[in-house]
Amino acid sequence: MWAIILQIKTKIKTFLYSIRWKILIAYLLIISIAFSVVAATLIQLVGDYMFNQRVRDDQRVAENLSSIMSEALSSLDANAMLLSALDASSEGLSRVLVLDRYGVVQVDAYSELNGRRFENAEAITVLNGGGADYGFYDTDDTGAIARPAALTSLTGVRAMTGLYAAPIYNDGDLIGVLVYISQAQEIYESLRTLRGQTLLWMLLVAASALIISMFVVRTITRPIGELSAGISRMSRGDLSSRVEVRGKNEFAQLASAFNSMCERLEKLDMSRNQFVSNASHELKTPLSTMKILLETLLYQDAYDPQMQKEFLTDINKEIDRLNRIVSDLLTLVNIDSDGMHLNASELRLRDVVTEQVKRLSPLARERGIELSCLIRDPCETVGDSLKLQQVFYNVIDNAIKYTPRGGEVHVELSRVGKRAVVRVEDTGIGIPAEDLPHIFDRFYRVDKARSRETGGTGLGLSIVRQIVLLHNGDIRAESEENKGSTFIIELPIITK
Amino acid sequence: MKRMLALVLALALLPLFPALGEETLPEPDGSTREMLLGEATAEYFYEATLYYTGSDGVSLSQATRTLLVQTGETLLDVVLEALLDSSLSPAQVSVIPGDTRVISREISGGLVTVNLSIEARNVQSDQELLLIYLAISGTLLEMEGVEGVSVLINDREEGVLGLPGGVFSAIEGDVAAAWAQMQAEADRYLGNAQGSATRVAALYFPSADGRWLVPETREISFTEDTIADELLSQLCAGPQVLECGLSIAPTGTLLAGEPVLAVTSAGERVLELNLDGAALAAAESAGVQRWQVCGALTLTLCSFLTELDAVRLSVDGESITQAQREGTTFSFEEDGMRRRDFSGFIGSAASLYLANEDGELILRETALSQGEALSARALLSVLMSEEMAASLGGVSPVPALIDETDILGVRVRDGVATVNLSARFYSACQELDEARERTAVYAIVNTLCGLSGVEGVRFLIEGESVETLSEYIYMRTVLLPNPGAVVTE
Repeated sequence: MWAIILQIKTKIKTFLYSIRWKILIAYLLIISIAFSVVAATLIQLVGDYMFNQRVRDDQRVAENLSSIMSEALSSLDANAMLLSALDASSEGLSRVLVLDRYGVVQVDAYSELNGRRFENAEAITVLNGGGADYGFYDTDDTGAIARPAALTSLTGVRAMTGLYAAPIYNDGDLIGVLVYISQAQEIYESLRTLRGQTLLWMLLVAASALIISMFVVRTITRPIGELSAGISRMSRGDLSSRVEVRGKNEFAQLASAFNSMCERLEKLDMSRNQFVSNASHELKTPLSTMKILLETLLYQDAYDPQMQKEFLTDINKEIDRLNRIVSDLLTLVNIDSDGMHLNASELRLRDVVTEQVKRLSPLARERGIELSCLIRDPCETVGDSLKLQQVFYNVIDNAIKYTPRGGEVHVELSRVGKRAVVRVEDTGIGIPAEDLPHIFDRFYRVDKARSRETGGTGLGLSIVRQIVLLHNGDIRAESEENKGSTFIIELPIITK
Repeated sequence: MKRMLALVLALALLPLFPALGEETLPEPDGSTREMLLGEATAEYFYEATLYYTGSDGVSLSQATRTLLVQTGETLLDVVLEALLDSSLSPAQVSVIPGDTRVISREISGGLVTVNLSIEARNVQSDQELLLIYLAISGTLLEMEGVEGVSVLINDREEGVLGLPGGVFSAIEGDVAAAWAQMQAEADRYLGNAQGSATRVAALYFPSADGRWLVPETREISFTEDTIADELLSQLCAGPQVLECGLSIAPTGTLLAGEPVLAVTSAGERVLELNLDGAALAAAESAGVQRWQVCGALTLTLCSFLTELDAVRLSVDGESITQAQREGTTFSFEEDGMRRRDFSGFIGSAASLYLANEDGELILRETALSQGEALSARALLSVLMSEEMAASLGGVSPVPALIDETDILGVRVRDGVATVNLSARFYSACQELDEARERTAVYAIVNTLCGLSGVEGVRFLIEGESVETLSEYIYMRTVLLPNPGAVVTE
């Protein structure tokens, strides 16, 4: 039982703390406040208009009556005043009182208040020289004026009554007050009906807003929920998890970014696995070779010094190869972990490129390949000279290695805009189109047997790419199988 | 910080003192003690419009004179005196012959009857007599509260061209036209049994309390032969407006025979009426006193029938020689009953505002003497009389035990009656609720404002003004009448 209550409590708490609830409340509040302000202003305007109209009309009546009463009051003609008051009054709708200079009711169309002082704010204002005045009042059980009533009162007004007080002058002297009391309940009722209708409309609008808000909020929060679920799945190790991308809004962009991130992570994961697998394989191959050579030497009865030397030479080669692999791996790890620092200095790429071309010219000659170099611009840049040497060496070396005898390797340095462009073109075997996107991957080999034959570790182009990127440059390859490949390296140059 | 807190506290407490700086109703100036005693009417000036002989001698001209009405005088006396006075200006010649005196004048309700001495008859023609009638009536009708004027000479209706003048109720500006009309009427009326004339007659009805004869004016049409019958018929029909009057013949007829006009050896014209005994007995059973029957007939006939000196009454052929009124015995001589025999008993209808059992204001009419009906103090005395209230089917509007001794003084000035009441009256009113307080106050105010020249009432208690009588009605101002508060039954 307690568990259920606790569960319900938790659910309620979760709901209350949820963004959905908060957005709903916010929507409701904004709409309600906006509607209330508009409605209140509108009602106030309508009310003011209606009551002002009424005030003007009744004030005119009161002032006319006051001029009529002037002579009768000055001559103390109560009968004449009563007749005028009765003419201007109608049962339940309007009532005329004539007060003397001291606020005593001398004539009452209903003959109820005669002799009493009419201690009413408007009459007091007039008798104190304040001029004509008016006010609105509520009445009590007996129909007598009871208390001031605000036009904006929503409830509790028994009978809204307007009271107009106009001075009665005789020869310029204030001799009394004419009070004209007029029913204004119908205006008040109209206003109240308007208020009721507005309130009803407000409730309808609020309900509609609530429903629409629920849909809107659902539209907003569903992608968040899906994203949240995707992240949860991912956190559990499911990198294949994707969220559905709907529309083109920010949430769709977020979902798309999330999917991209997932995709990238998945690729990275795969790449890592591939890397580990490749690294294991690459490390295992020389070890296996060495093991075979060593076992052969160990289990050979006849000692052949020539063969032994040959075997040991092979073992030494495998060790060198292992050493290279480990060095390259360390280099990559160093780059990946931001451990590599560039010894940056101003240099001319022309010098770096020509030096590497010179360095590799003997190899090219040995392999019967024509290595040419064209420098169009010295291309001054800031970089690590040794690292850049390694880049150009690897790329030109690769071009020589994968170009058959009689082929050509052409290196060209030029300046395009603010970048130095080094193109290394060969007429080699080329790279199949399906392999081209992966040639910079670690341990990726287009032709694995040939690659090993050439003494490559499968990490060269990865290292090249990382070094170029460290220099804020770019590297890409274009190739056509059996026709040749072109590696294009772009580096920023110093502009003066 | 402390100052800030004090300021905030002061601002928070401000709404608790709304009276601060609020305006209030103006208060009357503080008046000094004014111990009114008895009854007084202040001296005042009255602007009278008097009618004199025109330059052609056969028309009237108007002149306005400011008259001083002194304490103890009545406006009517002052105006009549001014009208008869030809000494002021040669241009203003009185239409009334010199040496003419006002023998008596009666004011009853809106009817004023002026009885001139015989000298008034010293005119050259009926046209001049008509001028006298029109001048007097025109002058008096200008006065507030006067609705009709009857002019008699030596206690009888002289008539013009043989036609009765009756009661003049409108100011006739064009004398020539009036004279021409009178001539035409006389031609049509005299010597022609079918020729009729129309006049306003004063009909005197017995008051219900058996004490007075109260006039009511009424327009009647008559021929030379039916004039007496018409008057008698109207008297038998009873009053139309008066609430305090009775018919002299509840059975509808009173005479046992036709009226007979006789001329005595002295040349006096006497109308002989033989009353039906049974009808008279029925009238007496209905509360009409015998003297009231005699008086009503005499006053009515002598005030209207031209040159009638007296009325001789008999019952079933037996002459009436005596009649009783509250211990007074009327003795009539052989030559009949004269108008002057009863003129002292002409009363006036007065409106009294009493209370009903629920304490609401009701209106009752009663007959009072002319003096009482014109006296504010007398009216208040009557109003506070429980016996009078009971006789009129109402309740005294003031608390019990209050009587006329609690009216310390009354003064009328500038249209305002100031009533000084006793402390006992004030104390007795302290327990009144709002309705009964209003009834008590407005019974007095409305009653006094029924008097000519009184428009409002101011109250004093032992000479000092008080805020309210018990709690509700503000007493420091002049209160105007509240006729709308009267409930109809």
